[in-house]
Amino acid sequence: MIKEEITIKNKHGIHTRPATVIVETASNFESEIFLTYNGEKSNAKSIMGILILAVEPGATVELETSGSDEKEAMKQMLHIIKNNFFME
Amino acid sequence: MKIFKGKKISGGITIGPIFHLKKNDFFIPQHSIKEENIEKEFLLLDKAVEKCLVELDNIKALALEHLDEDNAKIIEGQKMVISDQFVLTEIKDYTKTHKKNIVFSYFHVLSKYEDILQKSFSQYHQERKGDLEDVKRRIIHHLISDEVYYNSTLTKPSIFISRRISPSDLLQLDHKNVLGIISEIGGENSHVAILAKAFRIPYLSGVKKINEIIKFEKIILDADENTILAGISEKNLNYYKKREKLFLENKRKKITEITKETKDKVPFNIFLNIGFLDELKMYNHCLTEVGLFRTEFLSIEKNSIPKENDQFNIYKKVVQEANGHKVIFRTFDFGRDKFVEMLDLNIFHGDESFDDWGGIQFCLENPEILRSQFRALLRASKYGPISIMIPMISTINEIMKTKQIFAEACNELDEINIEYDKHVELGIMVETKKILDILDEAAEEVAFFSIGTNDLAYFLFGSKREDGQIKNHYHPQMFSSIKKIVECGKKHNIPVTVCGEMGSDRYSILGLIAVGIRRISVNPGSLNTINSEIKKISINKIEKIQDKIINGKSAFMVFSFLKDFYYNELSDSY
Repeated sequence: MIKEEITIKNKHGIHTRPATVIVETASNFESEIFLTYNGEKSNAKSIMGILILAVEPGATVELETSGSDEKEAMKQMLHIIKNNFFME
Repeated sequence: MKIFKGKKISGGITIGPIFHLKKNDFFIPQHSIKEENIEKEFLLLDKAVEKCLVELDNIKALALEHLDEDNAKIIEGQKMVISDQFVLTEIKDYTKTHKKNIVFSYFHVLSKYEDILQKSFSQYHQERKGDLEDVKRRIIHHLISDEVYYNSTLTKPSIFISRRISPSDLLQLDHKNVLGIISEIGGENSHVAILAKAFRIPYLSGVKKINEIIKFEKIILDADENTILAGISEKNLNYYKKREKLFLENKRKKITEITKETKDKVPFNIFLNIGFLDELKMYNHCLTEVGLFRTEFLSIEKNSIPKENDQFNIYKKVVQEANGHKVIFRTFDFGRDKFVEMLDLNIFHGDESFDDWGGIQFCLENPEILRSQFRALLRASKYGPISIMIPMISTINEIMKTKQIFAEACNELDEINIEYDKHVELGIMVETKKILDILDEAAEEVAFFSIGTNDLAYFLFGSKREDGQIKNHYHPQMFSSIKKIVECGKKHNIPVTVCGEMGSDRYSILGLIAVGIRRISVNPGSLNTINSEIKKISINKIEKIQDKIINGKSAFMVFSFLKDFYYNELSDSY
């Protein structure tokens, strides 16, 4: 299991559009992927789970991957977040 | 007593209790299910999800083609919400544990998520919440229409009130129990508006304080005066009761015969604009030709474009109901609000790019849709006379392409030996600015013209009214354009009909007749008024006012002139 913290920098936080990118990315991996914010933990393969975290811009979230491809999964997840979900 | 203001969409007055449709409630039936039926409920959900995903795929393709990737992404997000396995599992678990029907379980779980979003999200997210609402409505719509649960909700005659009413909401109700309609959002040309006018249901839109109105048990909806009155004393109620009685009497008064000539025996044709089979049934005692059958309503009812066979079945019923009278079908006209409402998505609302993307353009870019509609219509032609009319034409190239697709449809039917009327005529709507410049060429290619005055006015003057409250269709330029179209029709020997709102308006119709129109297709709600007006008109008198109208200085002046003419010449002394 790997854990990493990262700051969400895009303008409106994690709303539908970035959540879509997260689910699309997470679903490519066999590993379990979780996002934790404000003490709430959601499965990154569930768009609703991510949406209800209501991650605000500037917030720091914790990413957790565990499984056979956890390293690659973490790398990709960090990549999309760092790149502001390829939106702005 | 309290007074609320709104904007009249469909006239009339009614007094009654309120039925408040809260969008989130969406008529959710709740009942317990037996253990052995749980799997059946699950299957319903899986099917509904599948259907929604197909629908959303179609919408996404359209969004990609006509909007941009951002909008397509939003729809991708909606697809994800619908197929979110974690949520679906939670719903099924709820069904299992609480032994509740799947619609209720779905509603319960989704509402929980909605509440969380509501509490935690910033303004920006609040707006995005609409996406979730769309998704919820879409799934529930499928679940419910599959279960056929509607119908018992509005059991007594009531005034229907909601922030926004979609055509499917109204269609699912028994319109006989809808005394009136009040909404905050909804325009004059929305489909709910057309439905309300068709069934002569008083309708006020743009009403702001809905939450205050619903506190009253009984209200007066006075659409004619743009007013809602609540908490009125018994004594004062009498005046309104009398007016309501008069309105209902007029509404029920059946027209016995539609006139075929004016007072001075000049032949004149009145046809009907129809959008639904049910509407046609209301007029089967006095049938005349259907000058405009709007096919896009079929799509709105189904929330998608119906398959060829489903279309055929409906067209066939319409043709049979018309009982030997010709029906002019207009092919799908997904302009502006129509298409948007069909998709029932918040994101498209107010999108300017849809403005120049209506009518035939949509069909020519999706030729298979048009071809299958042609095939369905041709197959129906075996059961009675029909013509086909193409909306929003603006170039000869569009006419030629359409004719090409029509010929292909004919060939396809010939190949498989399906019978149809080989003489079905193709005509066009004259309703764009561009078509006015190529009328002669167009007349060579088609069998008839039908003037869509609403869109023509929009294309000539935009949606803004130049003279404040006076409708643009009183603009002198409208009348000179129509005169030009009439003359072109005469020259090429093809019939010209007006099927827009102008023909259903007691004043503007005088102007139409003055510039040579002898065929109109009216909204059913105006049939009585227009029919009795035509019987009072003498063509030789009206022809004399042509110059006055065409040379009028403004819409307001033409309006005033026609109104004066009406009261001086056509009131009872005439």
